[in-house]
Amino acid sequence: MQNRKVLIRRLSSVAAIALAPFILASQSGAQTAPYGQPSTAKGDWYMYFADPTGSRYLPFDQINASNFNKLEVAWHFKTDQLGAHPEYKLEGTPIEVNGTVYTTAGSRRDVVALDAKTGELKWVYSMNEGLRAAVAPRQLSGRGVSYWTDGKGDDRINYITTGYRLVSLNAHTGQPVESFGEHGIVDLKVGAYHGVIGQPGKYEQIDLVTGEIGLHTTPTVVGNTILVGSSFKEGSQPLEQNNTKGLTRAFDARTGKLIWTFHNIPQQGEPGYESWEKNSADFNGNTGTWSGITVDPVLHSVYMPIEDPTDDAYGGARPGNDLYGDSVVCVDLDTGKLKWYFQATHHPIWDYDMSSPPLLMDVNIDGQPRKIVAVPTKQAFLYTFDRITGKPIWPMPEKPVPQTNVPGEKTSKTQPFPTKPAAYARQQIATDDLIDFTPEMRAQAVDIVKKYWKMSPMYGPAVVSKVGGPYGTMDIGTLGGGTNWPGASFNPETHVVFAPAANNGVSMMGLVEPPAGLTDLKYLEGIGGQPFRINGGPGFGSSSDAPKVSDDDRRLAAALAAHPQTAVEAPPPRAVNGLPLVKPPYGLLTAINMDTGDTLWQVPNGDTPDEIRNNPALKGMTIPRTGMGAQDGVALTKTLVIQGDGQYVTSGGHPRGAYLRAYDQKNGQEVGAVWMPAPQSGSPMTYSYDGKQYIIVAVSGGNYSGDYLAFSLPGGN
Amino acid sequence: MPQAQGAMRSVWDGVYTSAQADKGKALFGDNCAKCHGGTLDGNDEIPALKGSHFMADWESQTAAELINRVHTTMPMDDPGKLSTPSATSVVAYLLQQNGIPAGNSELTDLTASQARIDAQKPGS
Repeated sequence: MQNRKVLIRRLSSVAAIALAPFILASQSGAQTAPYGQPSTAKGDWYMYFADPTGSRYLPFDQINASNFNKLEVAWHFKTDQLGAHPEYKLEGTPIEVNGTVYTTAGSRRDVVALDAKTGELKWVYSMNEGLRAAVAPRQLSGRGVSYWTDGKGDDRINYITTGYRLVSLNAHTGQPVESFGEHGIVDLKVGAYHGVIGQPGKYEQIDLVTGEIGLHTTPTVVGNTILVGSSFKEGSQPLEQNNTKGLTRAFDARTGKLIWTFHNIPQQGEPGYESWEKNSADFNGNTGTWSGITVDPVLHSVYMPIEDPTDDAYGGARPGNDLYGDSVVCVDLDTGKLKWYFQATHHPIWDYDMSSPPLLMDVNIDGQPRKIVAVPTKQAFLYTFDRITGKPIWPMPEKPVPQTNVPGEKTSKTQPFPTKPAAYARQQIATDDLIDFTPEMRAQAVDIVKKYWKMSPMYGPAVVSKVGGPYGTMDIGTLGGGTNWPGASFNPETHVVFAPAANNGVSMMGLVEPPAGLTDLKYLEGIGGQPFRINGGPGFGSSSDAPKVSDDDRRLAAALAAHPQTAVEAPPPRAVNGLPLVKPPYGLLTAINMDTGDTLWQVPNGDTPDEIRNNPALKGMTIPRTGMGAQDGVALTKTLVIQGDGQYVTSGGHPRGAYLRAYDQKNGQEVGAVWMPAPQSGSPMTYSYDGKQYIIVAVSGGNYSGDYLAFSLPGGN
Repeated sequence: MPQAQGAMRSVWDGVYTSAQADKGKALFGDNCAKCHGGTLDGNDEIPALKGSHFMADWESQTAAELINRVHTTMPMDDPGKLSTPSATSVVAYLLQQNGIPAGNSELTDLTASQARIDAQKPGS
């Protein structure tokens, strides 16, 4: 009863808060109370990517080219005190609804509600999950939260904990919603499963504490449905072929009840199962939906980007195309039934994933209005389809690609190649792409590649890494290139996509036989002649919770104790004088007209980072603006592309730091830049409240721990 | 001429000893190498601890700040395990591996707060 009273008292304060939009409405003359559903037209950035189409666009231009340089820090929220220790990789994009900013923060992934004008902390919600969080595959603060409302004052914040629980909180009090799931919580591990070796068609629930599955992407909330994907440890070195299987699920936003489950790896009898030869669908895992899911509520269509199966670089135990690995999949919002799919990479062994939220746009192609979906990728192709039928808008022929020579591997003979839009970043490395600041550097790079690495056209498969070379195939875009999780954006009024891309994300794809006793996988990523190492993956082991256990590390230590390994030589070089093997630009920002598929403009994303400009090998040389090889998301206003530097830059008489930059959407010209103490580490967002526009961006990195910075123009209101 | 107390020096002015770096090397091998690699070259998203990217990350900060970072957040699976003196030795090793020469005086709490990290030797 006591709790109930508290709840009622808090709900009564809802009425007071609900007055705020009334004031806003009387000023703008556009809306009347009650607040109802949030919208970008009202100034709300109410989803991770602003709205269900994934646009990252707010139709406001109080902040514009003429005043961007005057932006000031209105407030900031340092996240150090959340969680047991500070976090240095803050990746959240907050949402804002009607005067309150909500986001996740800190090494325990707490949820905070902040006053949109002042940053004052309204409430904080924290769940201590113990071992379940300590072993979770995706740790750190996550990417943010989702909002649901009935439009009448029942307003909720949904988020996914480090340990993979879906939590529904009262947006005004931060208290769990009793009527949702069990006391506000749905255990997402319930229903996650793996196969049973030797028993095709049999599936087994994973362990609720130690079973591998998680998610740091925000759930997508549309209407009364919450969509939740799945994610695993970084896929290049899973230790179980029969890992947990990716799935995508829909839950009732009011009650938390499961509505449907889509099996990202088809089960026996489901379409796509036959694309895994030898029943291998049953004994492979991963294939999660770890990036953002977008929705067209009018078409009742859900667009899901799906990643690689087990594992990222070797598919010997899963011959075939392996649906729905590396596919964009469209299902019905109400039933989860498959409408169409497109597999961008057959038999995925490049870690290409589908790493960005699909962009849902209404455009005019050859004079005809078309509903399209455009998917930015690590490949730097913008795969574009009719989003009703799944048919490519422009031809996408299958073309022959290089073939593997790795024992047991079978590569697809062809892969689809979009003819339009043109690739918006590097897709392969040829001699002409190598560093050329001086002829000596080019010669050195050519020498390094010749001695140690294998150059290949796009879709060059990994090689078995061996002493004397080649140690790996030089691919680009696989891990760190093209457009990754921050995704791209579009302006729904001008039909232009703005795509950020890393242009120097070179991966050396080498395979080694793992130490005996470690795993049932024949090959894992590694470098011949070097002791085997496990790539922990970003943030793994960094949650607030104790005890700190890495089962993989323990298994590796045991395997290496039985079969010690030592380096037989120095590791093969991957750089020239500490500079990237490839020449600038290291990162790009590209505008693409989706009515025609033509590139409008392309510029380096930001300035030359300190690590390049201060490199002793370049002393005395004039280096053109290189841009940055970072995963840097953008936000759009009516007229600007806003993107922060992803690396440290010291310039303009400022102390060391980074810049939040604004580019003119028409021509890509930089029209303003404001200083920040550290690089952008989460994509920016913008909102307008009480007559004032704000930009929030997460910054962290190097010596600087997580901080949300809110910028606005000077002058009170 | 003795330095005035509180005067900022560069890490290039011999701010740690070889013995400290040796101690740091052993600690690094036990606690850090499993992720950052025996040659400090990192791995995918795990940052390298030598070279221009690392130095750019710490440029113009003090060695004390780097020690504090190691002490409070590393190793990631057991932060706080390295005491401040141990973290100091690890940082001495990192400086050495980045081509910054050893000197005759030990790096300590006090001297670290007065040692500025410069990617390149000042005046070079």
